[in-house]
Amino acid sequence: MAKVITTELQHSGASGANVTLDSSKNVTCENNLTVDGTTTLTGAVTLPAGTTPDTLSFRNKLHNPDFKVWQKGTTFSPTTSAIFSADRWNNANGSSFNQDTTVTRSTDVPTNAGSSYSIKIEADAAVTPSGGDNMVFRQRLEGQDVQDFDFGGANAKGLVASFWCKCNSSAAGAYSFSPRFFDASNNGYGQIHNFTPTTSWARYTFVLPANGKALDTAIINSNGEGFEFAIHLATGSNDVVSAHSTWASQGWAGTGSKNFMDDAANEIYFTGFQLETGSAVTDLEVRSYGDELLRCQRYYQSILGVMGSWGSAVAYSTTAAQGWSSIHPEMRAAPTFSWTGTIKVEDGGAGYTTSSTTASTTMGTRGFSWWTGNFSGLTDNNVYYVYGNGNTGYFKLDAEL
Amino acid sequence: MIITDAKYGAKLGTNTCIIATIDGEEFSVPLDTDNRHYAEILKWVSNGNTIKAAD
Repeated sequence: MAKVITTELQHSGASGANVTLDSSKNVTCENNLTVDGTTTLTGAVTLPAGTTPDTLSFRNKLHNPDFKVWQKGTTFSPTTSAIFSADRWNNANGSSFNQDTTVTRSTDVPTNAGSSYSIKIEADAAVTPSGGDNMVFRQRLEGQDVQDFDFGGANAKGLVASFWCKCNSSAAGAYSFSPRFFDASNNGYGQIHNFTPTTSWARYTFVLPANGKALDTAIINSNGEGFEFAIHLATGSNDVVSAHSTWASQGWAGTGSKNFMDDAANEIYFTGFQLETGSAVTDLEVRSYGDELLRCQRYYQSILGVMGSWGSAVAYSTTAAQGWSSIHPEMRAAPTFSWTGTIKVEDGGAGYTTSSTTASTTMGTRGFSWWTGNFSGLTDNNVYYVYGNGNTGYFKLDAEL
Repeated sequence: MIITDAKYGAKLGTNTCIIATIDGEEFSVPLDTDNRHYAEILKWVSNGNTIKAAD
């Protein structure tokens, strides 16, 4: 059998070797390599530093990107106040704009995209934004969770954002994807990209190059807002500028963007959101329900009041009690506390309810205490376990951004 | 976020929270500037509103 012994292979038109060989049996391909057949790798694979995040788990910075988690319910009717609907997702408004909509969990999803649910936003009335009015569907990320973007220097990374969207015919038109990052003084710097959904599901991808303010302004490194992933559905004239792909401190929505609220029949769906470093989009990273729930519970927890699930309490009179409960996982900040249903304390022999609908508290990120009156028949200094009367109702802890 | 009422809750003479009515619902809000409800209450106060003293 003939053998070719050489150190280089070169195309006649190339200026140098295409392939080099060395005495240790290493082969270096000097440019692109195309393999038409199956590739089998038996050794370790080393990837360029810039591409590594694209290939591993946890590359998607967004929480609940495919709408698995709905701790607050599955139907909402926001108007002049912002709400959180699906966990981590905020139906927000500016200048008290009347975002008169119905927001629901939907099973209408793109085929083979990795999502079982989408979020559906339906207009309930025609409303025209003016001045500083805004209607925004967004998710805010903690600054400490996006430090790997390396903004603020020459090594700032490019980002890729993607999501699936469709709408009905009356809602078809251009809308604006407006990501922003925030510095330590809470100054925001964004890009604006228009996209045009149709009546068919499609994946929209936006390459966000590392440029402009990303090269000289660092993202705040704290549990405060560091990055906003926002879609503007209605925008008053004060906040409309030309779409741009340079991180800069201007505008919210791109020129030519449509007012989603221009027709009470409008509907729009979203799912499969992803924000990752790199320069090329990857498939949606699908995480388990448990993983997503745990991520979401850093920001909001809804605890069903089944037997004993609301912790313990001690009576400090015959009509008042102080309860305490730990919080898992630790929350982003001390949460706001409220409950639905009726608090009941029980000592194994008898149960006692309060007519109070609120309580004073000391709240921490890992636990909290509440105290209230309007009980009757308690035994002073007795310890009780706490739950919702009828095993219904929820303790609600809110530490959203 | 529309705030219509706010009153301190206290323990042993020290304010520990604010009982607030926000968008028509009652909440117990911690005195934590990282909490978005507390931040909104501070804006509400800066607009001339007053948090009532604890009982």
